[in-house]
Amino acid sequence: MAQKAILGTSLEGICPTYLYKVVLLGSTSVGKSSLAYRYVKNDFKESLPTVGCSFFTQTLKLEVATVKFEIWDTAGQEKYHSVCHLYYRGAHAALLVYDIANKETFNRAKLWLRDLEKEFLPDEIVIALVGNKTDLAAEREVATEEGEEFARTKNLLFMETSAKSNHQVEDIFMAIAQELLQQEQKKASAPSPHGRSTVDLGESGARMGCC
Amino acid sequence: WGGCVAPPTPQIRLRCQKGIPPSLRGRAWQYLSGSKVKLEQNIGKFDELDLLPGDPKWLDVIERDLHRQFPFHEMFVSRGGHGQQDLFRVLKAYTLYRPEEGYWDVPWRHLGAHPLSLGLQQAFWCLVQICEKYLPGYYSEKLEAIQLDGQILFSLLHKVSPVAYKHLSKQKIDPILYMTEWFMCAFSRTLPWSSVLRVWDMFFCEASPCAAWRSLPHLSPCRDFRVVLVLLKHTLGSSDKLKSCQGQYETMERLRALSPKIMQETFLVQEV
Repeated sequence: MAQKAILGTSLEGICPTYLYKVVLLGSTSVGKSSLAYRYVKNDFKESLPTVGCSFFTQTLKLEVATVKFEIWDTAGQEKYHSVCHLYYRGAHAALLVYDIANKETFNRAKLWLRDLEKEFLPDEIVIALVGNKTDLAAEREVATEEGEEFARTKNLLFMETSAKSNHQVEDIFMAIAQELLQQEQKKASAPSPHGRSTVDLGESGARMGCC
Repeated sequence: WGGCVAPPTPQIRLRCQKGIPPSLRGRAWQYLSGSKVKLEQNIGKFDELDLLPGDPKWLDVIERDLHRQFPFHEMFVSRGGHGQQDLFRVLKAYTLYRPEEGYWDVPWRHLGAHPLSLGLQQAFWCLVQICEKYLPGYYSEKLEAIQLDGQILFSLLHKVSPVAYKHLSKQKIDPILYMTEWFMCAFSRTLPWSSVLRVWDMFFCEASPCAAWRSLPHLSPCRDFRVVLVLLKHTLGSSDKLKSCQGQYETMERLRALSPKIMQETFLVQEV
C-alpha cells in the first residue's frame, strides 16, 4: 500500500526516518487505549480507564521512508478537558475516536475537532475521524454515511474500525502515515516560510534521521 | 490504635514509617484517616444512601469498570461475586453522597487495600475521607487542585534537583503530563503493591499540615510530594541519566517506566 517515490528521486538510496507525534482523542470508553494496544501489540484486552496519558511507539518501514509513531493515548473523561491542550501540543496527527454504538461520543468528537481547529492551522495537523467498535454493529447508533459525510465536509481521513476484532486498525494508521509523508513531499517541493521543515529538530517539526 | 486520634503520637508515626502489619492495616487506616469518627458522627447515613436507586448515568459507568479494577485480586475476580457487589454498593453510595463529583474511576482503588471485610460502612467512610482529606479537589471539575499541585511540585523540584527541573523545563513538559497518574491514584498504578501500602501507611499518618507550602488552601500531604521528588530525582537527576532522554517523548517514556530499583519499598521509604 505504500506509495512509491513519495519523496522524489533526489533521496534515492537514502531511507529517511520521520518521527511523528500522534494523539488519540475522544470520549471515555470509546476504545482509544484498545486501538493503540491493538496497533502496537496486536492484541485486545479490557484495560483500566486511562489516567492522564499513556504512551506507545510503533515503527513503520515503508518503501520510501521509515515512519516512527509516538502515540499519546489520552484520558477520555470530561474532567481532563481543561488540560488536554497540553497533550496534543506539537502533535502531527490526531485520531478523533468515537463509538459507533454511542451517538453522544460522535457529537463529542465534533467538539474535539473544534478544539483542534483552534490550536492548529489546517495544514499543520493530519486529523482522522475513527468510528470504533464495528463489532457492535447490531447496536449501531451512528451510520457509516454520517461519519463519512462529516469527515468529508471537514476534510478529515475517515475509517470505521474494531480494536476487538482487529478491523482496519492498521489501515487507519497507515493512511495517516501516507498522508503525513505526502505533506512532507509537498513541503519539500514548495517550502513556505510558515511550514515546518523536515529537518527541523525543534519540538513542532517532525524529526528526521537516516536509517 | 484505638487511641490514635490526630495528631498521631511519635510512636505511631514510627510504626507507620516501618510499615503497619497487614493484619492491622485496615483497622489502623480507619483510625488514622478519621473515618471511624466520621462513621460515628453519621450513623445510618450509609444505609440510607445504600437504599436509594442512584443515578443511572453513574451506575452504568461503575458497572462497566467493576470487573476491570482488580483483575488479579481474588476477592473481586468473579462477575457479580461478593467483592464486586460490595464495591458496587460503596461506589454507588459515594455518587449519591457527592453528586457533584459522581463517579471517578480512581479513588476506589484505595478500597482494594482497605479490606471491605471491615464492613461496607467502614469502607465507605474511608473512601469519603480519602477523597476529602487526602486528595481534596482532585476529583472535582477541571482538575484545578491537581494543576496547582503540579506547579507546587515543580517549584519544589527546582530546589531538590535543579538538573531534573532544568531538563523538564527545557523540554516543556508540564507537570500535569507525568504527575497526574501518580497523584490521582496515589501511586497505586505506579509502584509495586508492597511499596504502595508502605507509602499509604505514611500518607495516612501525615495528614496534618506541616510545611510552609501547606498553608495553601487545598493542603496536600507532603509525603506525596516527597515520593514524587524522590522518583524524579533518581530518574532525571544527573546528566548521566539524561543522556537517554533527549526528546520529550523519551523523557515521558522514562517517567512512565521507572526503574524497579527506585520503586522498591525499602529504598523508597528510606529516601522519603
